[in-house]
Amino acid sequence: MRNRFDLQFAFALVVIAIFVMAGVFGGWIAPYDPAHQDLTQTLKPPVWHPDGGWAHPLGTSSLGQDVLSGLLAGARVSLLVALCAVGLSGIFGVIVGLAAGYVGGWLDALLMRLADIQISIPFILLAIALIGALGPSLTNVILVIAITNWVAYAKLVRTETARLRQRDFVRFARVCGTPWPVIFVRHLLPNVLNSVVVLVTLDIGKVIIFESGLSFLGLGVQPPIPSWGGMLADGRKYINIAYWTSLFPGIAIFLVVLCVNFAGNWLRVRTDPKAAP
Amino acid sequence: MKSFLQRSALVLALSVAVAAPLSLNAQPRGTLTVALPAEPATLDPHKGNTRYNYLFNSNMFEGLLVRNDKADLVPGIAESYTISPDGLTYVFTLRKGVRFHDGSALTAEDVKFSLERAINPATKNPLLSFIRTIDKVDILDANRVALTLKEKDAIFLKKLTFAGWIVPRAYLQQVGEDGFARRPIGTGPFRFVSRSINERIEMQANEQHWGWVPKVRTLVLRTVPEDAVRLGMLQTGEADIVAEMPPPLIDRIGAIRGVKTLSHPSGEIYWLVLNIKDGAKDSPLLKREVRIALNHAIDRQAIIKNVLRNQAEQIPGALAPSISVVDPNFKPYAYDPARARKMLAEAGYPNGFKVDMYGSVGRYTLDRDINLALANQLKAVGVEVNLNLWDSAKWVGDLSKKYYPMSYQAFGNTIFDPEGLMIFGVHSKAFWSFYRNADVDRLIDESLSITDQKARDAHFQKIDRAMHDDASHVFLWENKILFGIRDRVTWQPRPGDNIYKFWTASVGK
Amino acid sequence: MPGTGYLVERILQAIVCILGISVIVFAITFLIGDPVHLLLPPEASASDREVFRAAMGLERPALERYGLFLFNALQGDLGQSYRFHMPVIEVVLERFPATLELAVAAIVFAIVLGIGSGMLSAVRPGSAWDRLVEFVALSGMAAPTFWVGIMLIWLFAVEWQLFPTSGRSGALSLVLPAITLGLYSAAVISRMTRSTLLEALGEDFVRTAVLKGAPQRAILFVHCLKFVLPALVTIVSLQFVLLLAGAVITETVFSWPGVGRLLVQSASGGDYPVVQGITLLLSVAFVLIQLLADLLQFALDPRLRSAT
Repeated sequence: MRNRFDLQFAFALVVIAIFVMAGVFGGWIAPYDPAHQDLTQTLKPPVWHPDGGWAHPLGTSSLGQDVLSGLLAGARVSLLVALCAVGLSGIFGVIVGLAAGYVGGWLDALLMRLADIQISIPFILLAIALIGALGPSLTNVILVIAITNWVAYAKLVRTETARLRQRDFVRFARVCGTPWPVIFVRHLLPNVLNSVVVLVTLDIGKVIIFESGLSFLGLGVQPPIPSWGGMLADGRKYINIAYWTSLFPGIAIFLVVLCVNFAGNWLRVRTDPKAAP
Repeated sequence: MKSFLQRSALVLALSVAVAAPLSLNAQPRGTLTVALPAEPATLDPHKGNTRYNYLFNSNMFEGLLVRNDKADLVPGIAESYTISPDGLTYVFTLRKGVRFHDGSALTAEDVKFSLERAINPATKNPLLSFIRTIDKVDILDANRVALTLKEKDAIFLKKLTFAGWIVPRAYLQQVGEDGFARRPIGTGPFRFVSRSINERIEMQANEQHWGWVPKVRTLVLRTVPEDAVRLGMLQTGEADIVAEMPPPLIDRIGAIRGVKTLSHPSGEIYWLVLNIKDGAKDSPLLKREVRIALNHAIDRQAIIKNVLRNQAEQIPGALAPSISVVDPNFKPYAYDPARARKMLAEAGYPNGFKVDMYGSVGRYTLDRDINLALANQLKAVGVEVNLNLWDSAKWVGDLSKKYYPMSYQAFGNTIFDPEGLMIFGVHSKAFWSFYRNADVDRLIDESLSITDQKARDAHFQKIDRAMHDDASHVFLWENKILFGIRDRVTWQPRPGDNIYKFWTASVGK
Repeated sequence: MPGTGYLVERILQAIVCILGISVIVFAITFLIGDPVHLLLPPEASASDREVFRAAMGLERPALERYGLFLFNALQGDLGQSYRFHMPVIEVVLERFPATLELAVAAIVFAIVLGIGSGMLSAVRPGSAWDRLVEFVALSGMAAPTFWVGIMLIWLFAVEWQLFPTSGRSGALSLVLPAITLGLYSAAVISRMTRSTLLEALGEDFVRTAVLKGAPQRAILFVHCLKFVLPALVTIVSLQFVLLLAGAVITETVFSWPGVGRLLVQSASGGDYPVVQGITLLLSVAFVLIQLLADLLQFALDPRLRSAT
């Protein structure tokens, strides 16, 4: 059983490593400038089609832009959005959840109602409003996702914390007069982290897909900056006749998300002594 | 006394004699389902402002004059009219026997009520600008209505046909504004049956229509925003006509068995609009040579062929061949990037210049791709374009607040007269115009009083040439709307008319 | 049983929530911009636009407009739609059942598939079955909604003609959209069920029950599920609201005449009364769901009572 897991994990790690490297170096190793247009080469199919060629192994877009180059360069946006948006919303959400669950009472009520207000406002609407006002850019996309994403963390952590608070080891620590930061870090956080890690691994993929949803509405990262979400959204028009314009960015997103989840799973199993292998 | 047999034969013969002409005027048959990417939000003809509203209005309602399926201006509710010598008073003689869809007779009161409602600011009619020259409406007698204008207007009738829809006064007052928007009633070839918001509108042939009874019994307009799904509906037969398909799908549509494509000239003119009205005094766009250079920098044929799949036709100047008479000797600016660069250098920009460009996404066919392609071609001659692509709503909203030096825009055809384009999109006083040229303004003002059609044609050719010589914009093309139509449907819209009329459409077996 | 004090407190909080939401939504419509240019054709002149703006009451100060909005809303009048020219309530309520129907179908699909597969995984951790479910679940979360939707349409509706391609026309037309919408939630629920169930299975009280000789099924359903339910209720309630508000893409792909698509169209079309109306309705629905979820949790596990 160990061996099987290690193989899976190794594969996942390799993919993630490729993703990160593409995110950092992709712009430089791409064969073409992903924004370079060639109107004589529009919607050329990948190399395994009779019309395709090695000049553009994964085909071209509706403006003759190389799909492979777009994939390599677009990894950066997905990487940044994933790390920053999930990081920001996760940290904020966990803090709120800990506070609400531990202190309880009025603080809990206040924070949870704020969370309710936040989540009641449809993400789409908030995105249209914020990006409409601030303009579409990578920073604003991260901001919008972070602002709307923290609630899940807060609610989950709050439930777990409230439960843990009643446990003997916590009550014991409080009786001993342990200052609350120590309780948070030493006693609560480790136990809460499991669920949070699961949520984070689910979230990274969700956030990458959110970014493609924003591109869907024209609110995502703007050209000439390439993004997988942007490519996916553009390719939507041509799904019937040029599947490669959306299949490959879709596969890229899919693979990365899958592997992040595998890796997260493996981590969780390793760090939680009580979980079954 | 004739025998029973003889009497029966007589009755039979009479029935046949009576029935024959009726069957020659074939009964409306079948259901026509049309899939469109959007729908008219309101069904009230005095409150809508998108082309889907105009589509609905044209099939449901009528004005004093109407456009038939060939888009010719013909008598509608009025069978004739006279214009006073000073051009300010129009007297319409109403047709007898016109009935609303609920059976009530149309009267002069309905005409007066409708037109007054259309120009009343409280109605908030988006199309008020078209008929604001109406000063008052008077009833002369039971059959005649007089319209008095504030000023002479050579194409008043064309504008009136577009915005002056007639609605039933009694019914409207009875059900109220909301009720009317829910269940509208008009005098048109189709009557309203039902509607599910954002999904479908069902209409039925008005068999009492005075002029043309539709050939189909039921008309269903389905709202399907997703292109791929509309294509699917064509394939399964759920839709008979799918409209506004993206050009790259043309081969795919043609490949479906039992389906043909229709490339319909839309009458919409596309320009790269250069803002000469606002902005800095030292903007490069203020120089004529720069504007001509930009016209030379664009390879229109490459975009038309590769991006638009030939679903567009280059226009030599400002006007579209499907709705106005274009001078056949007119030569468009050729694609010549070397010349463009030379002209820019001579104008004082040997290294080009930087400029912001604002493009919409989702407003026009393939607008995102076209904006990117245009920006790219400009870059190739040294014009560093900073392209901002915005969602359609934001783009429209900021058009009036922000300075857009360059933007890709289209002007639609609503009144079948180039004056519409000129008044609303070129004259320096127009809200949506960013061009300023005193000579062109003067020419446009003059056109308001030319009534003879041939003289108008010549006059607009003059304006066209003036705009072309001044390179008022970067002239691009007239696009074609791509339809997928099932073979069993017979329907031919008139080129240049993108307000589809369905009463001549018929469905075979 | 929660005391009436708690109940009242929660309801008051819910009201405050809704008020807060109404303020924010109203403010948002300011951010989006001027609807006048979206409601008038390009041909309208500058002076006509000013007249139009004044006739719509957009000249009045923001606070006054908000006050008017709130006052009317409390009487059940959400104003008139700028585009439909019908009362907002009517427009929204006509579309709301469609979204509700879709969201309920999707969440039912997600719960059944999610909990079922999660339980199967938890009972046989590490097995081939577990790994298969894991893969499918992760795939479900990795696939973009519109991609799934369009693929389903092309396969099941166009090629095999088992379902209608689009539109809302009976039970069959609900299947593909519900699957498309619910797939992501099913995956999330499956993962969460598996992890919390595994955790529960390791707990002392379970071991005690095993030692006592209780049958496995009883352990699973009676003890574990009760342990697991609070977290599940949280997740399900969150997912449900995400479904309500996030059905935009699904509704667009399937031309489902629901509220999500209407919301985006109204925001793009400058129809702000409808935007406000939909958001208000969604938020009321959500706050109620949260209330129910909290009360349910409370009933399930008194230890969660956060009384000080």
